[in-house]
Amino acid sequence: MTSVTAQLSKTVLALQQEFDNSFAQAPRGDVARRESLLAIRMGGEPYAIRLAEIGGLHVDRRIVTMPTPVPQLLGVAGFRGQMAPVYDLASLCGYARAESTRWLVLLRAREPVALAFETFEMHLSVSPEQFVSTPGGATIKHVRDAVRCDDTVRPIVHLQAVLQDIQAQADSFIQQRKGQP
Amino acid sequence: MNTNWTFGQKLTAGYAVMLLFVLLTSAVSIYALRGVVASKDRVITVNAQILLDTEKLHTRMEEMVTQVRGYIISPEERFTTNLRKSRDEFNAISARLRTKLVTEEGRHLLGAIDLKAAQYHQISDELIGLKRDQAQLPVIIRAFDDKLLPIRDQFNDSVESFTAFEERHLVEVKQAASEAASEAVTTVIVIASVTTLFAIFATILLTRTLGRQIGAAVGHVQSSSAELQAAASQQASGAKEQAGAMTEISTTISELVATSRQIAESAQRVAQIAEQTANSARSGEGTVDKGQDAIAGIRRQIDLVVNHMLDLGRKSQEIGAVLDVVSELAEQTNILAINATIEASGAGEAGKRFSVVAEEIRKLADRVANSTKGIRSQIEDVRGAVNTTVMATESGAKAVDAGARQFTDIAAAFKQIAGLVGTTTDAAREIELSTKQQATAAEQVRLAVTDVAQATQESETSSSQTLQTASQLAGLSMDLRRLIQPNTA
Repeated sequence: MTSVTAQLSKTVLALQQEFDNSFAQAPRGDVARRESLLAIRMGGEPYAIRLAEIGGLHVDRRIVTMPTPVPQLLGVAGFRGQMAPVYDLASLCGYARAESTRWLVLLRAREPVALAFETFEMHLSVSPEQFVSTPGGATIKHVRDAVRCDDTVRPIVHLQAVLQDIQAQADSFIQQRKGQP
Repeated sequence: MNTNWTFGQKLTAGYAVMLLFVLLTSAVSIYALRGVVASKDRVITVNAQILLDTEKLHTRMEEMVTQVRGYIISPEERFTTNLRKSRDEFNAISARLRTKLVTEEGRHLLGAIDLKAAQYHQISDELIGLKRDQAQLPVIIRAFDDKLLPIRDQFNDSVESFTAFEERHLVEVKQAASEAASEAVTTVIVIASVTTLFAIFATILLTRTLGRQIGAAVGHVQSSSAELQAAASQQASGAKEQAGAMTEISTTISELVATSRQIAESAQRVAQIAEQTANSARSGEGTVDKGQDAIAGIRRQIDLVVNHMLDLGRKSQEIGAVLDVVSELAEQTNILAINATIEASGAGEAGKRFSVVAEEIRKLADRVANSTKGIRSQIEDVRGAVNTTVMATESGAKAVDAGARQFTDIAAAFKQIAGLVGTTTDAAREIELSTKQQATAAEQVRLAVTDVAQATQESETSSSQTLQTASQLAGLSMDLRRLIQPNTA
């Protein structure tokens, strides 16, 4: 027990020192070139989404279901006093609808739209050299490129394309409603 | 004849039948002889007496005629007195004679005699009256000749007829008596013949039966004699072998005596060793008791260790709960940092600085999360180790319990060993004592075997004598068979 306590103390000291050192050292030169991504899991597979395309990351938000003809629409959720529709990202990308969607990202758009997915793994800060082409072609919808990180190639889901898809489906649905007598 | 009867019974039965026949013959003879004697007596005493009385009647009649004639010649009273006397005697004889007659014809003829006698009495009284009346003699003589003499002749004729009848009757009675005697003789002869034939038959039957049975018995005696000879021979040879065996037995028993003494010494040593073993067992029993106490102490210490380990497990769970909180805080910090980064990206140049801070906070949150994962892993390892330790300790406790039980069993075994060693000691002493007694008994047996060997030699001699006697008995049975069956070789 004594060794465990000592190790814990050592870990805490290391964290504290590293945190302090980060502010003591000068900023790295390549910070501007690096891009932030979020590593997620969708349909059991590793993916990444660009941090620049989202307005916020949330977890365990209550999603209120509502009757809808759109199968990808899970319901609506509240984000800082405004309601946003929540869509299942996996089903929008061609997977089966996820059973458990604990994580939500709010898209950076005019109208608030949220996408739900299964797992948020970690934050990624990658350099331009880490971006690679999609392995095996773009078999998944809204995936154009990928990023290599820790010997893992994660396809990058373009959320703006997903948003356009949602918008297109909504417009089509509105047109259908208008076309009905 | 029943073959199950003994010789005495068979002879007694034969003689009894013979005696029965002799008694029957004697009875028949006595009966016939008595009949003959009765017939002859009747002939002599009745029929001859009748003839004699008849002659007396005739004599009295002649006396009465003489008295009547004397009175006529000389009328004296003595003639009348004699006449009455003769008349009374006549009547008495006639009355006695009547009682003896058994035939009707005899009684009829006797009646005729009495009638003529009565007529004679009447006529004689008339003549006496005439004389007493002094009648003329010629008248009296004429009356005498005309009346009395014819009556007397008629009386004589009646007497002759009666006599002739009685003589015929006498002859018939004599002949009947002779015939009865002849029949008795015939009967006696027949019974005697039957008795003789039975005696011959019984003699032949008894001779054959007894000869056959005695012959069979003699045959058995012969065969038994032969068997007895063979048995005596075998007995003699067996007695020789037995004498040799007795010598060997005597030698063996001597060795047995020596062995028994050695066993007694060994048993004594065993008793000493068993006594030492009993002492060791008692010492071991005390050691085992101490070991039991030590195991009980170990069990208590193990219980304490288990309790501490369980407490450690609970503490680990509490640490896990704290780690959950820390992990949750790290996650929320990470989210917050990411959202801060997002917000900073839209805040221009000022936001870049804030973005740096948020990035560092996010990194710190990542590291905390990673450290939390490591600590959780270590805590899980600790909990696993605690669980393993608890299980191992419980296994140790069970092993200690098993050891305690085994120590209990060992203690019981030591007690049992002590008891058994005590029993062994007693048994060894008993073996020692018994072996000494066995040695003494074996010595006595050796002496007895010597006596038996001597007796066996005597038995051998006796067997030889028995063989000789059996041979003599076989010869005697052969002689006896020749006596019964002369044709036997």
